[in-house]
Amino acid sequence: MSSTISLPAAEIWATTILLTLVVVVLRNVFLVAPRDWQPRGKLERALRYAPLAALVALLAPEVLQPLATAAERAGPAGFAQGLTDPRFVSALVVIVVSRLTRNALAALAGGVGLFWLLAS
Amino acid sequence: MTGAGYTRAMPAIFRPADLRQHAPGSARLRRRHRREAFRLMLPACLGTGCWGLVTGIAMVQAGLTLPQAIGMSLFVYSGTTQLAALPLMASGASLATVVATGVLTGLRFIVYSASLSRDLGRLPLPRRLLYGYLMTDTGLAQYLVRRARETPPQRVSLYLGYNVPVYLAWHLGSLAGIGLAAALPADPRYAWLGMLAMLVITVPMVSSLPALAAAAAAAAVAFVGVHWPWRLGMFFAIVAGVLAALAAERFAGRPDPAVQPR
Repeated sequence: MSSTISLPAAEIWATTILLTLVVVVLRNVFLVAPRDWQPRGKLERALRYAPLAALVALLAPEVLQPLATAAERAGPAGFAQGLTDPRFVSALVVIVVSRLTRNALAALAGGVGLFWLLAS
Repeated sequence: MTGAGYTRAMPAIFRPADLRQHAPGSARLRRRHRREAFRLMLPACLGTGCWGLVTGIAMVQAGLTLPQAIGMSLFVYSGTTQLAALPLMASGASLATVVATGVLTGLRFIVYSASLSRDLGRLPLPRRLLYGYLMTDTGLAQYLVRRARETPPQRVSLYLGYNVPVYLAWHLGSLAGIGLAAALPADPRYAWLGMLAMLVITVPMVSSLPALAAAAAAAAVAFVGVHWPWRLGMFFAIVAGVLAALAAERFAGRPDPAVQPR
């Protein structure tokens, strides 16, 4: 962040309160809506995939960013360099260890350990 | 069927009084849920704590005072919304722009509330609001994978079991970040630890063809739309993921058992 917030305190609190209202409303739309509005059937089943899609949507750009940035800078050679980026490699290790061992802590320890090793 | 008629028609076990979980044996179930959730959510909590730490540091380094940063962390309780709002506030953007950005970054919560409405929709309003407030990406994802194994009254304690630890981890991390902001640099490496923890939670969820389709479609759209304004790429990635999963279900001929409603 290049600059710092120089708003009056009242405006900062007003922003916080409005953002709180926004998040509360969004989180509760269907929890307080009439039961008739609750999703059913295919829509209900479809919505069960939403958290997985949301998590992947948060993660994918972060994991793939090193490859894209490296390829933008130096073409195919850069792409190959991107494959050794600590973030990409550690994410790959987490995926592989998680798949092989089904042990979340082992996967996290492997990924974090390798990331600190390569990034420091 | 709506309102009182709906409640009367339900078997006794589904009635709101039972949702308060005073039934014999429910304390044991709640303890089991808490233990199971703690074990499953430990990696996610470590990551969430790191992410909270980074957000706490970012808030103070953006120029918020201690009470303002604590207030934003406690009340807004959404890392993506907070991190999206800070640069806008720093650049002097209008209140309407900041709020509109908050709406767009939080669109996924509408989808989450829709997927929770059947399980929590019969609780008293204050509890629905409280449980809605506790909703988290990782906690909800784990809950939806495991909810089908439990009866509706037990799902409430299961939901809390997955979301309360994340809530505590977030605030502990965030408060630590706010307190340590002067001493710690805003190192992006802390945030990456949060991403790795989220990945640990996500990988086991990709266990069927529809889930794989959802992940692939969401990843592709999110990557293409990463620079779209107001993080719209994320919203469309969720839509693409859900549609791809439905298409794959149709192709596979049977729904994913992990997401089959009961």
